[in-house]
Amino acid sequence: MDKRAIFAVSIIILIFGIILAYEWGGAWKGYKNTLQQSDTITARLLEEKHIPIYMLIIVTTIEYIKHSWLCLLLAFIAAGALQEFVPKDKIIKLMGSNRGFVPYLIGGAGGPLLSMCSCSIIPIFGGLYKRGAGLGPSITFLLAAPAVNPAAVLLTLALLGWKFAVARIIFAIGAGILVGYITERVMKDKISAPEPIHIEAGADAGPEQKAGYAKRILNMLLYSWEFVKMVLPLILLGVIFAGFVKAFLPPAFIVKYLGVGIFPIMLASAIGVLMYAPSLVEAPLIRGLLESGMGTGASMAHLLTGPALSLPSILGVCKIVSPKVPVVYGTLMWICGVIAGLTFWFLVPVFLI
Amino acid sequence: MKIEVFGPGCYRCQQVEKAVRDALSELNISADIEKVKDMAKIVEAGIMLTPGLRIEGKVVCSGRIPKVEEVKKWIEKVK
Repeated sequence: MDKRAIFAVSIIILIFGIILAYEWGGAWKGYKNTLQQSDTITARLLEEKHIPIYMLIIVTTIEYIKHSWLCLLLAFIAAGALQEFVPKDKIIKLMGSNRGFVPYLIGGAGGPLLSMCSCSIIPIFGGLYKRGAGLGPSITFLLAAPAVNPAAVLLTLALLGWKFAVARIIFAIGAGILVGYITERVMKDKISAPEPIHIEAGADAGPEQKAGYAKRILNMLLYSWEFVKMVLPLILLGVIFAGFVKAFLPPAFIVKYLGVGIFPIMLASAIGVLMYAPSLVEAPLIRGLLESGMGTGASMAHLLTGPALSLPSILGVCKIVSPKVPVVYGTLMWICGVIAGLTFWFLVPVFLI
Repeated sequence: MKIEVFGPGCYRCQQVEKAVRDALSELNISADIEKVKDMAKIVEAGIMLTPGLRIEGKVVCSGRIPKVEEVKKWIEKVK
């Protein structure tokens, strides 16, 4: 990382730190009182079941696993099937060879089929861009793919309900296409087209392409197992973290900063743009926050911008295109997060499971 | 022999590196293994789906974790 990046990160941490430190003391003092009156699910759980605060972490973990194990199992099988059966090279070629609106659609809807691991998205973005797929569709892919991938959607369905899952798909694809299109329009004259380089797509089709179906289904399950080993620890981390949030972050604090209204939505959207969270961690985390009083609008805003963008991803993209590009699409995505949050808040004002 | 493993360093990339090391030790060959994590270099090498594997300047595999047997074949081909 270069010095400017480290500087930017330290400034952001400092600002959040000051707000946190300032508010923590005040909110913590009123914590016990707030619990008596507060209407949040966490508070009710504490009152009805008479469990000590530290037990909340364990209770939360068990409850979330009970809620989501079936969907998780399906998600892992789906991930394995994508890896084994989707001809990735063909999707990439399709995106690169069309003009007009079609590549945007493929980027938004087909992108999620290409990759499960959010860390593997930047090379695809770079490859698409340098092969001449156009800046707009490449950005659409970069933004939509991590939020709409099948595992993330299934986990959202399990933990947050169908309204969140459906809204997430629509908003992520819509925002991805919109932001990609506007960024291309804005940046068209300001950056030079990339020098085309030779990309060896299809350098390797893999021996399994010729294998029979029994063999391929076995391969699929092996891939699923790979994903389990890769992703499950992260999800558990997210669940335990959600438990910590519920146990130690005062509901009064969450209600004030991430509750209902425009300001919490703007804040949640901004945090989503900057913060890095491994894919699939956001669903349990958001559920934990919702139960402690986070607003539905703020949750939606964070679900949209959280997986799509992060500071590390922006820095990675800076190495491939001019740094102006991530600044433009980051800002646009933040605005989209706010709009999506407001819309969702209007449609679904209260979180009920 | 020069072997490069391309990827940002996530779980799958480590699996590829492990496969390469296993293959080398089974064949009893020594080689330089380089882990390329820089995004710009990954893109320049023409690898779109990480993890990628390049042996002696030729991309042999990308977007999946190869089996040790496959890696052994590729290594023996260029030897």
